[in-house]
Amino acid sequence: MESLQNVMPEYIERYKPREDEMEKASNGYLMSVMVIMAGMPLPIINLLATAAFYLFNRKSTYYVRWHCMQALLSQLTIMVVNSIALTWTIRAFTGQVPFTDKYFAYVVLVIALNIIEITLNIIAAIRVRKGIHVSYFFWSELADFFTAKR
Amino acid sequence: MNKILFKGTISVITFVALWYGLSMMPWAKWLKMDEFVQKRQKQVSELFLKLHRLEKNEMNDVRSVQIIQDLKNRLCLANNIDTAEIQIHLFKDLEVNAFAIPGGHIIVNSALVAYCDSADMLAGVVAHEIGHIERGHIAKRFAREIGLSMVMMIGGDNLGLIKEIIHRLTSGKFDRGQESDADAVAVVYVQKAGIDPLPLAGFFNKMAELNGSMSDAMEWISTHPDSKERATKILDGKYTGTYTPAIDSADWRYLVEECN
Repeated sequence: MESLQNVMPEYIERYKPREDEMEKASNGYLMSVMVIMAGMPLPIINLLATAAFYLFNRKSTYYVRWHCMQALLSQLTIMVVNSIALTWTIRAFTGQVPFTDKYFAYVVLVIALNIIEITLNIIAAIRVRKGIHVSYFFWSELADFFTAKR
Repeated sequence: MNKILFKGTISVITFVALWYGLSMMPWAKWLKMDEFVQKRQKQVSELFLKLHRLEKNEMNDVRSVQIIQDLKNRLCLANNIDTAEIQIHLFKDLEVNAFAIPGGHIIVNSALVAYCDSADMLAGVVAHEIGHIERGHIAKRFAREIGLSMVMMIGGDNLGLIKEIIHRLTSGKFDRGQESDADAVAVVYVQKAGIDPLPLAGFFNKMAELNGSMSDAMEWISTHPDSKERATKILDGKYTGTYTPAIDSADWRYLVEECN
């Protein structure tokens, strides 16, 4: 089963993980949630912690790696939008750019995205801990792409 | 791979569409940014004047103050501008400079008065600064600095931040359009006040000649580019009417003497 998953990522949906795998995979999402809460407003800290957790588990089973990768990719996306928001805010607060409706709209959207991402990660952590497969829109395909052995 | 690209594109489009949709809402209005900006403008200008008075000497002799106030009032009254809206201050300063700060205050340095060949020339410069205020250029510039103002509010009105804001507000260049706009408005203002607008062109020509050997003290020049072109624009205008001196000759001589 393990070797099959390495070449066919879609098998992950049928895979029955072991207890230790469920715990590690769930921790991947929890790590992301915890650093979001601790790292705000420095997006890079969130990413570094999730990346470190992924690297720590890179020798682990495909199931664990896949979920850690999905958590890492979602974190990476959020880091990009958060970094833009942070840069824009610093520039606005130092008078380099004005506070516009576009700025406020972006900040509101980014805050909403962060809340959604945190909620999704908490749900994912709980479901994965129970052995239920969770795949995000777009990020799951990316996780397939990056974890599949070619 | 196609699936990834497709879903990635969908995600980006959704994000941009949501952002665009949200940016249609008047966030700045909801957050009462205008009210906040006006309140802070007043506070910043009051703080600036307080600070500026500690560093430079404000010319307080009754006659000089009256002369410069009369000039301002003449320009304001002829152009339906509330005289209380514009406050003019004369400071003893070697820097050839005049500038407007938020809250309708205009600072005129003694070196600028001494640099002017005539009272009409000074009137043109003052009218130019009133133009910046009336056309909202100062308010727009301040809106850009409002972030610093927010920091100031959060961190307390400390001297360093006030200095930083004021430096940005007074040393930054207006854009080309704003300068042309203020020039055009100044010509209208002086004419309506029965003052010859051509000395303002003379002032720009004088600045253009000095541009090459500009010293650090010539702040007004460094922040007001393209003097020759601006002078030409004014000289190209067709002016009719009878003009009277902006300031009575005896008063002008007195003011220049006081400013030297």
